[in-house]
Amino acid sequence: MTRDEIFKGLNEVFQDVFDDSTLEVEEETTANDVDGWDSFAHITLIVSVEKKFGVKFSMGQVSSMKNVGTMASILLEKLA
Amino acid sequence: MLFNSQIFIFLFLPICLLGWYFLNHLHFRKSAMIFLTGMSLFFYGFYNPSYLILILGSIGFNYVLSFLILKTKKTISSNIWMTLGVSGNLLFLGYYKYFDFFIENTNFIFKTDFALQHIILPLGISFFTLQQVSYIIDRCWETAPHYTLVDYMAFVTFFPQLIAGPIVLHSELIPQFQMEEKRKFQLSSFVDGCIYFSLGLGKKVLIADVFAILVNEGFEKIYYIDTPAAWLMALCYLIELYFDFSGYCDMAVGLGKMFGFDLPQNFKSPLKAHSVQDFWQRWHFTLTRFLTTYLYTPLTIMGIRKNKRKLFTYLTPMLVFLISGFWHGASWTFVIWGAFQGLGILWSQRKKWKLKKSGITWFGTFVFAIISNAIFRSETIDNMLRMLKAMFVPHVTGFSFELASSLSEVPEFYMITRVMEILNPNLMDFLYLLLLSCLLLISALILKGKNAAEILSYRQDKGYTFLFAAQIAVIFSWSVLSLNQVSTFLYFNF
Repeated sequence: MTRDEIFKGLNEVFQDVFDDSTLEVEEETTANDVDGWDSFAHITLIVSVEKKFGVKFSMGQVSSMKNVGTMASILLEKLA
Repeated sequence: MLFNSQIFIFLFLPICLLGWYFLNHLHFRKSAMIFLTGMSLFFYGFYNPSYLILILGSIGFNYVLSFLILKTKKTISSNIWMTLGVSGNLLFLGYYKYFDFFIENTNFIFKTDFALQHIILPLGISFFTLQQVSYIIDRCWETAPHYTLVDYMAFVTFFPQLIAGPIVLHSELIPQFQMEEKRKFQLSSFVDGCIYFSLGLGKKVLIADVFAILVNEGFEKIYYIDTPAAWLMALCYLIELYFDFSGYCDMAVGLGKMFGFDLPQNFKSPLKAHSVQDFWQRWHFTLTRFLTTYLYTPLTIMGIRKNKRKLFTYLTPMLVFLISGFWHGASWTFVIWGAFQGLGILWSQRKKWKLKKSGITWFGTFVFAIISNAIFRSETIDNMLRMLKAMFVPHVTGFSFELASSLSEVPEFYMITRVMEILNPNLMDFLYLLLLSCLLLISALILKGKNAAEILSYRQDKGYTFLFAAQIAVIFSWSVLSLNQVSTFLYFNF
């Protein structure tokens, strides 16, 4: 899977979780950039991404996700 | 040692700064770190050197554990080390903080007669224990390296953050220790540090300590309080606690900057919050971050993975705040306070009846904070019930006048009160109420304005003016002149 494909999948998850079909995330996107991205939405997001890509993040990976870019890198590594 | 003492400001701090920059100037990197650690341990053990054994024992335990995690990476599961590390730290904290509470409750429930140990809470134990728990968990999650002993000791003991936070993470401080450019004296960082420190000192000495007089008086005479007095006490305590703790944290950040290091902001104008959830993102932020990272997130993810989303959505915030309450102190009032916060968080997370940010949402959150603090300040269940009854069952006895008259102890009001005593002693009660109203108004204006970080960033953009420098100098000098009545920080008790 390429990084672009991962971002395509991530955008679908984000749009679904935040109920906003126009939402587009980028490498540097963080919780501060998206309205409603609080600690609970973050967890919903993590679990939804896991389901979408068929992976399971470790707690270390969850805590090290500083922005969408690091999330994509972890996914890329897991799916390789 | 206290930040708000002359010995700290005029002796300890200059020696520490001179030693640190001198050793770094000579490129004695390791010696500088050892010097900083030694000074921090001196700072910690100043009033009671026996506590040094505790902090060194705690550091030793966690450092050895981190070493064992490194050496047994392929042979022993990190979950075993995590269980050992977390339970070891919690037992350590549990003995010193909760042993007597546990005995008291056991005696009460089972009618036993176990003797109390009367253990005095060692300074900063709640903070440096949490900090090290976070390191051990990060080691087990493989997000933290095994540091050198010198770096690790300097990280835990670094005196600006040692006793009452902010709860600094290893990943925030140790990489800064290792940066070459951080070891050189930077005038801009030093100046910012002095400004932060002065603002924090002013918050503590000129505001929090004044409100403390009134709050302490009220709680000493809690049997006589009426409705206006109870609300006034709870409001004044909220102001006292905010200025006390955020003042301490501003001083901590300032001291960090004097050494060239950035510490995290612990307060982001919490009294401007529009919901309880928003409040906890702004008040004691580093504690919220700790609880979110190491408790709330793993527990909720686990629950959702086990298809128990609904249960865990409600259960986890409640559990997290019950623990947060208990962390603050060994008393049932803190547990009740925690449950109250948990309910507030669940209310913030509701899907229906959501209100847009407005004066109403702000006011609701502010009143919630006032009631929370009435519970937080009550040392016993009896006092808490007395406070809440006084707040919610209206009755007026005029106790507010007596409460306000405690301001006669404030040295700054001495001249005004003396003059009024001579001119018209019958108006003294009204004078004290007027003075209290002025204090509340000044506090409201400060709370409404920019916080310390915003003031600094505004000044960095616009440039420092002579007027600004003069204001800071006045705050610092006035605070130092008021230091003859040194008082400890509220969060030293937690």
